[in-house]
Amino acid sequence: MSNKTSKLLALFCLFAFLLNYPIVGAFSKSHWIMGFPALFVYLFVLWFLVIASVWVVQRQDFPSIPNLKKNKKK
Amino acid sequence: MNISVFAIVSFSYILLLFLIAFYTDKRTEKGAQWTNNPYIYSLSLAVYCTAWTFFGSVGKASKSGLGMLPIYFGPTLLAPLWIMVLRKIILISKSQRITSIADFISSRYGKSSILGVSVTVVAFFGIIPYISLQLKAIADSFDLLATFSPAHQALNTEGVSFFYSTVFYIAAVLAIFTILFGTRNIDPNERHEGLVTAVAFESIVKLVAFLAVGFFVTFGLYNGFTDLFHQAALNPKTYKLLFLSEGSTSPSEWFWLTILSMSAFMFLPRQFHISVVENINPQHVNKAMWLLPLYLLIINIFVLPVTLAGLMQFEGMNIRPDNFVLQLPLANGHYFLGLLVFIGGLSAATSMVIVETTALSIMISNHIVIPFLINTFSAFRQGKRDISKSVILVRRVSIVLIMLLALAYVRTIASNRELVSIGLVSFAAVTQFAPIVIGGLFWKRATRLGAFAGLTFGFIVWAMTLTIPTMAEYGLVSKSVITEGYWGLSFLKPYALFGLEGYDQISHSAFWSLFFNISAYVLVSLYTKQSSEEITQADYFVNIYKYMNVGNEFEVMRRQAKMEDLRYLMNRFLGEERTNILLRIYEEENEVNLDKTVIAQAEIIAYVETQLAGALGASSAKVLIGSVVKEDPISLDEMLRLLDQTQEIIVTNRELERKSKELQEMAEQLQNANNQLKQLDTLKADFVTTVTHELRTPMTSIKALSKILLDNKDLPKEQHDEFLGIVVLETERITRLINQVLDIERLQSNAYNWKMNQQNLNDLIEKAGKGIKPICEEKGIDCQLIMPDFDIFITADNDRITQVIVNLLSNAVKFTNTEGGYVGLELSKVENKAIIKVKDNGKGILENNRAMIFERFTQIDDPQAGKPTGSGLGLFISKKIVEHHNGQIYVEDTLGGGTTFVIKLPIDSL
Repeated sequence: MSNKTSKLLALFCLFAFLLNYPIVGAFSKSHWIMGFPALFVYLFVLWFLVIASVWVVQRQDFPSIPNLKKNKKK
Repeated sequence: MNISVFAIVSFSYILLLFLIAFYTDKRTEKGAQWTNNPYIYSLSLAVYCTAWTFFGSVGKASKSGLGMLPIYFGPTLLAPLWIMVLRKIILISKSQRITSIADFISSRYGKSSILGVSVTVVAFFGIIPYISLQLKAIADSFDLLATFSPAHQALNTEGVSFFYSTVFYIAAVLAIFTILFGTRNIDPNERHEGLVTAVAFESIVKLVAFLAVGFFVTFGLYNGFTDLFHQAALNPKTYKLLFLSEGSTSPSEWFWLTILSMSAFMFLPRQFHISVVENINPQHVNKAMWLLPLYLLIINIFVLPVTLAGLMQFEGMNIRPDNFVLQLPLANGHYFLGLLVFIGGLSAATSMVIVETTALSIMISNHIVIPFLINTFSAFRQGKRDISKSVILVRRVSIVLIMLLALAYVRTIASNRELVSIGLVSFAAVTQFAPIVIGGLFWKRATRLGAFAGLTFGFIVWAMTLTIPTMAEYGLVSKSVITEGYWGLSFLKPYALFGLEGYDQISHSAFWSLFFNISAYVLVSLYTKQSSEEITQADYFVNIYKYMNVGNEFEVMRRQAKMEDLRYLMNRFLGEERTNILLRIYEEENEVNLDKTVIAQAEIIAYVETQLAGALGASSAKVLIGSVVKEDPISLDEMLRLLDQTQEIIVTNRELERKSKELQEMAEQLQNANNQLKQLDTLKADFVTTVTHELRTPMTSIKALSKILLDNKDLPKEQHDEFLGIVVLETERITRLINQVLDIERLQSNAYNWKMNQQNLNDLIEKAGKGIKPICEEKGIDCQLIMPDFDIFITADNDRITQVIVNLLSNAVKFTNTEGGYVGLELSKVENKAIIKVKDNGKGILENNRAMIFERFTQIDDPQAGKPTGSGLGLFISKKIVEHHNGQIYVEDTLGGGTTFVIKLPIDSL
């Protein structure tokens, strides 16, 4: 598994926990952040963080995919 | 606003889609590649957002607030794993010409036709309600527009609507679109550039439309988000939607929605079609990984605001939340915005219907109808007709059939259910594919029977817990099923299977169906055996990267066929023109002339089979190839051995490469060692000669002088003493020489017992200096020790370093003139090195001799001074000692004559 794949796998695990109960439930209280419900802010900020971190990780180049045909037996 | 305007606008919109698709297809034929970019790919993936997202999200949010978000968190969370899963699926599918999710599963498990049929059946039953959901959404929005008038507030969406006939026309137009652009021809790549471009375009339309209504509501009807949220907080009905309160999405529902949406995003036939089959370049996945989640985020930002606004604006009215999106602009007199929203909903619905129908029709034709025709009518196997036209016909008929069934479903069951619940039933159905696809990608041992068992159990439990009870609710099945359980067995209640109560229907169904699905899949796989074909395919799917590197060089079956037969097969199923192109490609790639080939070998057969599989599905292709090929099937043992062998060959090849590299390195090392040894041998010989020579000189004088003393007893006392003095000196010289030779021996054989301790270098040097002082005074030389005002510590062998310094100092004294002579030692610190400089103002060393003096027995001959005293070993030993301390010793340029020896030693880091 390449370094980048491992990083992406780690992202998946991290956010899978953060975007689920019980953490989501903890934000589901009558708190307000700058006029927004806390849950609304938490979910959308986290959502945005997933996208941003995937963007950051995927920017490194992936090893190109070897061409099947080139390696075919002559 | 007249309703006929909406009808005209919607048909014009679909006409625009026709034009886009048509134009793209024309351009693609001329070689344009505008679908070949990650942005079109990402946008087309947004076909995930259907009318359910467009209208239904608000409906769901009106009950559970943000509890509808997990449906979009699933794909978002999954995105980082696309590299592991989706890219692998794409690579496999590209190399095996896989054209649908049914084809993928069937291919993985030994090109099994029964699995292809099962997957198609599950998808068919799971998806038809989903398609009707879209048609229903279009119908509802028409209905709403028709009955809408600002004065007529209380709307009634129940009852018969003549606008369902409009939906019928829309369905008909969509069927035509799908037929034209989704079944353009039988292309082994099964790519439809026009269709994809139209879908990508629709993704933009629905996003713009939803954002428009979101902006209108949030900033037009209210003063931005905070104002809207503030007002919502004042109303108890909307207040509870700001949080996940009682009655909203429960933790288990949240979790299962995430899981279901993950599976749906990968395995819904339309998603698989767009993400895998229509994918042009696997690298596009990289960008889509964040672009698609971004799209989902943007389209969801306004869902909660629109819901809250709708609930507040229409409080006390009988208006379905599913219609808020459309009703909010209309009720406020913004007809143009209403029209835009309507178009947005239409685009969300039509893109889904088009792609889903295309994908389903491929599955139905390739896995049910064509195999049936081939197996039943021998004419299909051996007939003379060009069958490729029939294949297209089968697909077109399936498309019409799917549309009709979906329409029928709209009319009967779907008319009363909320949009979301119908969609989730479909999600739960395709989730049954998840274990066997993911298992198939990573678990080689998984067998066809295991997959079949898992799928069957999952499907049955899904039907028992979701579909049949729904039918019971509509009176199609006896209602007692829900209250009493199946066959009156209380533990078989559809919403409380085995007594599991307290969960919502979707979580309950997802849990039990996956439980039985995975258990059956794993257990049966463990206790059944794979056929040889299964083993090959399993290995190919799990280890696709291995094959990417080495190519599929081994052929499982020893197969032979007449080239003529193969060509004939291809002509019939792919058409003559395409056959010629494909065969020419093969000829060019493999540098063969197929016209001269009479008996085709395994490799060509495999190629033809792959091409046929692209058009007809893997299992049908297998049957067809089987009808013309003489097979010499390999036994299971042989098969396993072959697989092992390929693996072994790869491993062995790598090992060989590594070994030969190692050998080469070793040979070089040996060569070097040999050279060194030769050099050492010469050195040793020189050494022995020199040592004996050095020993003989003093011995000669001792011998001569002793003899004189012995023979001449009456020598004058002065002379007698002088001679004895010389004998003593010479003896000392011999002793010193022997000691040095022994030192060298020990240093070189690493036998010397180093006593490394922390030393205060200042003290050490001062002590050494004291020893040399008397000699200096005797010769009248000015001796100076210049020490720093701080202590320098090094780890060293005290005696040895003293030896080096004494050696340098005494050399300096030795080679310095008596008059005006100067010898100085300077200790300093540069960075982490201690620098010891020993200077004299003697005659100096010529530059080209400087490197040499550290060699053994080097004595600089000076014609004027004659042979110098000393063994010529001192500096050599000094160098060895300094090097052992990881230091350096060398001679530095000195201004104004004289010599400077420099020693650098690493300082202890304190």
